[in-house]
Amino acid sequence: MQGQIVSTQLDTVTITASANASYSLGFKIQKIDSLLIHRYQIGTMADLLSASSTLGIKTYGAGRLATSSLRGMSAIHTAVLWNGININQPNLGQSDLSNIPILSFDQVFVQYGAAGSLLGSGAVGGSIMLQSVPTWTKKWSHGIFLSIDSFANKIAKITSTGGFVFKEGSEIACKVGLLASNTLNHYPNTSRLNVQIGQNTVSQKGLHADIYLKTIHHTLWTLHLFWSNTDLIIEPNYDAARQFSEQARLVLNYNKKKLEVKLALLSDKLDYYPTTKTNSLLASKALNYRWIARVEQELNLWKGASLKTGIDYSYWITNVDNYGNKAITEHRMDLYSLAKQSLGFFAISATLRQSLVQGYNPPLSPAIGSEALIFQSKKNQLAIKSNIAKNYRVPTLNERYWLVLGNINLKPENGLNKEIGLVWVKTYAHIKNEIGVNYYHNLVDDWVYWNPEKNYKVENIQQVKATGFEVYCKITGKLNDHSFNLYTQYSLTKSTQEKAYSSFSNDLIGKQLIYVPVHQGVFNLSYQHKKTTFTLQNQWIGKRFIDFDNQQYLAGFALINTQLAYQSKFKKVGYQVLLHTNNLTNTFFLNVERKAMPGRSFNLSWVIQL
Amino acid sequence: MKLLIYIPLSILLALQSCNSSLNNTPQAYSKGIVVTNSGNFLDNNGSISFITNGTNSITFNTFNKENNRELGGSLQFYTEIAEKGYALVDNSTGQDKIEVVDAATMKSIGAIQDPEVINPRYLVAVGTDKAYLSYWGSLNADYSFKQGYVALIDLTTLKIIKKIPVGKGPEQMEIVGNELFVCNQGDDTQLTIINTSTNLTQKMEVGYNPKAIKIDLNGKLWVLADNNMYRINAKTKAIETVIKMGTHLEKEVNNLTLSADKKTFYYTYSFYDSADGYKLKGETYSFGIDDLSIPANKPIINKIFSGLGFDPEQQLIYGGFTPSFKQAGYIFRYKTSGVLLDSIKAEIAPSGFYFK
Repeated sequence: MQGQIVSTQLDTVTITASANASYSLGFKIQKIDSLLIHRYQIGTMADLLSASSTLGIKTYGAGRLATSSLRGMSAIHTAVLWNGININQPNLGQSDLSNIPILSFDQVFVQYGAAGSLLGSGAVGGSIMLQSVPTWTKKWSHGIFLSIDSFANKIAKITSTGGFVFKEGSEIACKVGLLASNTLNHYPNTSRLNVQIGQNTVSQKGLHADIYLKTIHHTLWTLHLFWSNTDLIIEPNYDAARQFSEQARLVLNYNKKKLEVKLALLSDKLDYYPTTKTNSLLASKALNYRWIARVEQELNLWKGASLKTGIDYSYWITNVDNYGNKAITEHRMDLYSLAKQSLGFFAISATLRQSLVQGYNPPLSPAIGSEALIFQSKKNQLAIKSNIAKNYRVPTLNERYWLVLGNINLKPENGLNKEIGLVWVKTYAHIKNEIGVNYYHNLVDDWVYWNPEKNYKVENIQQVKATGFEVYCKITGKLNDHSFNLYTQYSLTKSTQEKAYSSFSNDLIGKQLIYVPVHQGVFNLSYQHKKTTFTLQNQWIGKRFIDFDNQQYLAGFALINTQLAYQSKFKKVGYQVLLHTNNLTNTFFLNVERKAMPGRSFNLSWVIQL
Repeated sequence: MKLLIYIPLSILLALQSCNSSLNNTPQAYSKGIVVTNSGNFLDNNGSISFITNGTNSITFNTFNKENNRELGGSLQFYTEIAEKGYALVDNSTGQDKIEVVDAATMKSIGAIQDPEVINPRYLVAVGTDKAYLSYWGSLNADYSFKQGYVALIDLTTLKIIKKIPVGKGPEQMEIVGNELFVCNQGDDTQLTIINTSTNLTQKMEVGYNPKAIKIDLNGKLWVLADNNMYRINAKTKAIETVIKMGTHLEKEVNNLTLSADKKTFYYTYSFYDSADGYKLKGETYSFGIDDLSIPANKPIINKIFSGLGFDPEQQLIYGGFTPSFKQAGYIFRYKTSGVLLDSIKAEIAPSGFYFK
C-alpha cells in the first residue's frame, strides 16, 4: 500500500494520494471508490463528487459552473491537483468541476481541511487530488465506451492500456485515452412546476496519455499529458451566451530512490462571448501559461524518522483583456520541509512551507499532525488523529489585477485550522467496518471580498469562522460470489461571517455564508454478484442561503441515482452493458440561478474490451 | 318576545362576523403599500413585499406566499389596473414575463410571456381593459440599445395585440388625452408619442436620454432628460421651460417622484465617487412645480435611495435603501419636511412603491 503512516501497525484508512500525503498525519483523506469513478464516466467531476462526497457543490445549471464549498469555505479555497500540480484556473483561482471530464486519472482523493503547508496556496478548505497510477503489464488492451441518455446526450471514449518489457529489464507502462461528448440536454419540457429549466449545451473533447518507464537502475520516468476543450452555450433558446475553454498540460517526473524532480507546463484558455458568434469583438478572453519546476529530496534520519525538503519554482504569464492590454508575469517560489517520526503506536508529522511571490509576502505556514493507536486487537482498531495547521491563500490574479476593482496590495488570507478525529476499524469474518468522526475549527482572516457596498472593489475585510463535524461509515464485505461496498457520510458545517465592516453589515455577523449548506450527506451502496453489479447513490443537501443576511434560501433536496451493470465475454471480447438512472425520484430542485434542474433521465452505456 | 328577536339577531351577527373573518384572509392585500424589491439580477430573486395599511408591519415575498413559487427574475415594476396586479419580471437569461395577480389576494391569474418581449420596463393603463408596456427588446452584444418597443396588451385576454416600434430604451410613459408620451433613454433625444386610438407614432425633441415623465397638477408634462426638467404643454407639444437640475459634473438625477397633490417633485442626485472607492454618494432633493430654479445644494434628506415614493394617505415620503444587492434593504419614511419618522426592514433592493 502506498505510503502507510506508522510502520505496519496503523492499518488505517489513510491510503495516500501521493508520497507527500504520508507526511500529512491527522488529516482526513477520502479515497473515492473506483467503481464510482467507473459509474460516473457518463458525467463530469461535479457529478462524481456530488454523489460520493460532501463538498457542498453549487451549480449554475447542467453543464455550467459547478464549484465546491468544502468545509464551509468557498470555491477558491479548494485546490484541485492533477498528478501533484494545482490546476485551478489561475485568474479565478478555482476549478469548474463540471469542466473536468472523467479522463486522465485513475484515482481521486478528497482531502478535507486546510493543507496549505503540504500543498501550497489555496488549500484552505481542502483539496481534490487526481492521480494516475501505472498498470505494469506486457499485454495491450483496448476499451471502447459509448453512452447515450434520454436527453440525447452522447459520450464516446477510447482507452488503450499496455506495456512492454525490454530485454535488459526496463519496463514501460502506457495508457492513452480519447474522449468526445455532446451534451444537447433535450429536456421533455421547458419548465417544471412553473419554473423554467436551465438549458445549456456542451460539446467536449479530450485526450490524455500517461507513460511510465522503469529502468533497471531503479529510476522511474513518468510523462503525463492532457488536453481538453469545452464549448458551452448558455441558454441557446434565449440569451445564447458562449464559453469556450481549453486546457493543455504536460508533467514530467523523474524519481530515483529518494529524489524526485518534476517539470510541468500548463496552459489555460477561457473565453466568454456574449453571443454565440465567436468572431464577436466583445469577447472577454483569458490566456494563461505556467512553467513549474520542483525538486524534492527525502532522507531517512533514524528509525521511524524521515525528512523531506523541496523547492518549487513557477513562472506565470497571464493575458486577460480586463487587466488592461498587457501580459502580466509573476515569479513564485515555495520552500518546504516535511518531517515525520513514528514511534510504534504513535506518529507525528510537522510540515513547514514558505511561499515567495514576486512583490508579495505570504505568511509562513507550519502544520503539526499526529495519529495514535488507542486500542488494537486482531479484529478491532481505534485511532485518534489531530492536526493544527496554519493555512493561507495568495489572492487570485483577478483579485489583484482586474482593472479598477482589483487591488495589487491585497494581503493573502490566512487562517488557523484545528482538527481532531477518531477512526474505528472492525474486522469480521467477511465484513470490514470503518467508522470515522471528525471535528474541525477553522478561522480565516483577511478574507478577500468584492465589496458590493463599494461597487465591488476588492478588499481584505472579512473574517470567516468555519466549524463542523463529519461522520462517515464504510462497510465492505465479500462472501463467495457476493460482494458489497457501502459508504455513507454526514457533514454539519457552520461557516459564518464574523466581522462587520460598515454600519449595515452588522446584520451579517454570525450569518451562514451564502451557498454553504449546514447539513449534507451521501449514501453509496454497490453490490456485485458474479457478472452483475448494482449501485445506488443518494445525495442530499440541506437549505442554502442566497443572501448575506440569510433571509432567502434555496430549498434542500435529495437525489437518487442507480446503475445496473452486466459484464461478460463473447469469444475473446469482453463487454459490459450499463443502465443508469439519474434523479430516479424525479425530484424538483433549483440551481443557483433559481432555475429548475432537469428531472429523471435514463442512460444506456456499452463497454467493449479487446 | 325580545329573546325571540335577540336569538336570530345574535345568530345573524355571529354569521356576519364569521363571514367577514372568512373574507379577511383573502383581502389581506387590499389596502396598504406594495413594495417592489428588485433583487439581485443574477440571482433572479426579485420579490414583492406588502406593508399593511396604517402600520409598519411588512409581509415578505407575498407572491411566493400565495403562489408557492418565485417570480423568477428581477422585479422591475409593479402596478395595478382594475383590481389586477401586474409584476414586470426581468430574468437574467431572457425568460422575461409579466405575472398577473389578483390585487387583493396576490394569487396568480396568469402571465404574459413572449420571447420577443424582453426587458420590460413600465406599464400604463389606457381605459380598464388595455395597457401599454414599454420594453427594450434584446440588446446588442455590447449592451447598447437596439430598437425599443411599446406593446399594446389586451388585459381581458392577456394577449399582446400590437408591438409598436419606438425609440431606443423606452422607459416611463404617461397618457394625456388620447396620446401616450414615451421616454426613450437609450441614446436618444426624442419622446415617442403614440395616438391611443390609431396607435400611430410621431416624435418630439427634448434633451438627451429622457428617462422620466410625470403629469403635474396643471396637466403639464414634466420630462427628465440630460439632468434637466422640461415642462411641456401636452396639447401644443411646446417646451415651455427648461430647468437645470444642478451643476455637479458627475451626479445624476434618479427616482423622480411626484407628491400626492402633484405640486412637488422629489428626486435623488448621486454619483459613484471614483476618488473614494466608488462609494455611492448624494442626497435627496425636492422642488415645486412653480419654482423657477432648483437650488441643488439644499437637500431635504441627506441620504440616497434606490427608490422613492409618496404615500397619499399619510403624506409621507418613502425611500427604499439598498446597502447591497445581497442583503435586505430598508424603507425609510419621512415627513414632507424631511424629518425621519421610522424605518422598516424590506427585502433585497426596494426600488418602487405602489400605494392603495
